[in-house]
Amino acid sequence: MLLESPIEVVWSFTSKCNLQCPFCLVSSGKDKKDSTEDTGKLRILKEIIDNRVLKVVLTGGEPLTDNLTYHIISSLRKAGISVELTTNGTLLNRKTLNWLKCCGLKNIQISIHGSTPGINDMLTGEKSFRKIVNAIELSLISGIPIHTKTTLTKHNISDAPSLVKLLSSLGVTSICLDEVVPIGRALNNYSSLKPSVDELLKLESMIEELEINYSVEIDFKSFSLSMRQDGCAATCTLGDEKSYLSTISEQGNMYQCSMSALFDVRNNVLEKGLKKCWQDIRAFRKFIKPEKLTGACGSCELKEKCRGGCRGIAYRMTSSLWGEYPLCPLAQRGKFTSDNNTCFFKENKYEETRIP
Amino acid sequence: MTENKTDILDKIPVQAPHILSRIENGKAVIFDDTNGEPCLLNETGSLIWSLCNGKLSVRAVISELTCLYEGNSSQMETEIVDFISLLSYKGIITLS
Repeated sequence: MLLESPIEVVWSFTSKCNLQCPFCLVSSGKDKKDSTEDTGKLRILKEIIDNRVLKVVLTGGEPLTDNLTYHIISSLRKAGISVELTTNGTLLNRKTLNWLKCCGLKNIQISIHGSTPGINDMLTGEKSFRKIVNAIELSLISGIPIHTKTTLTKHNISDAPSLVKLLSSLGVTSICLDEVVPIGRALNNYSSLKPSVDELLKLESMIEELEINYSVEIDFKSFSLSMRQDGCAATCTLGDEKSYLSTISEQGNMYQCSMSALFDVRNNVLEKGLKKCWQDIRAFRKFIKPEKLTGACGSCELKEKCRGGCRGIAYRMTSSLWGEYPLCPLAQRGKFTSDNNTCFFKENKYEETRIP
Repeated sequence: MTENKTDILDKIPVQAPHILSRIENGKAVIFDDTNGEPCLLNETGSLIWSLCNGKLSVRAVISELTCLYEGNSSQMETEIVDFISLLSYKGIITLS
């Protein structure tokens, strides 16, 4: 199904954020300035509307730090496009929520990373817990459907059952618990963030009971566990013609997924237009060549099936387009244990932010 | 899917509000906003989809299509009813 344009776009349209989470996928923060001016963002907005994208997930950074967000949501809704907002919740208030509801916002995803101020605020780098809980309560009152998202790290994974209990008591029924992924700022902090496989397995064994006990639906995602179950890394679909999703970065670059942004390839909507960028996204297939893989992946019997795991992460962690996928349990065998893959980070040239 | 053919003829099909769609080269791309599943209808399916506008009954949709296409009208009627029943079963349209 080669579509003329993506059906769904995840638009990370600002790098600005009032928090400083060590696992932020786009390394956003207070000191970040957007490289795309408002006029550029409005051009991207027009491209999205003109190319009849059906759904937009607005994310950041923190979208609500930018006043342009309101104009963007309003314009997308007027064009009949479904809109979801991803937010840390700290800037949501009753007035904002009323406005968002009037606009017909489809859903809000609110991030919360702990059941107590101590756990949550340690991870967000700011006193944000009370504001987030308040935002969840106000959102539920407003009637806009919400779900929460928690990034699971070694610092909060044991707190997850308490968090589910808290969220249930607030009235939340849809909860995402996602294992930290080594991209963005998390790439540089991965060894200090990654929960152990035993911790993940323990939580996984509790999910069903938590869902029943607290009448919630939990979407638990752990790429470490899924790799172990499948026997190999998840198959990368980079450049797949059946794809219907794309991401647009703050700079205006279009990728198929957040991980393919790690290649630093320029595919800019402001330069080429959305339609051309969407066509060119298939060129990322050049990064999928099982026959060229090296290291453990090169000699692996499963390489044609899994195609070398996530090639974006492999590239960033090994500095080689055809390097082995360091997070694959098979690749790790005999070299270092699944919970001790810090050797790749010692050579990392990117900035590092440690948890206090 | 178990609905009787005669039961369905006077019902009015309407596109479900959670289904987003657009037309590309005469074919409808439809996307379920609740589960994130897209699909591409063929040209005939796309035409039926566009006629599920809350104004026409299933009988009227059949009438529109039999005017446009040559062939066994009884077989066409059965296929259209089956297709509309499938869309209804999948929650892509509602029948009122």
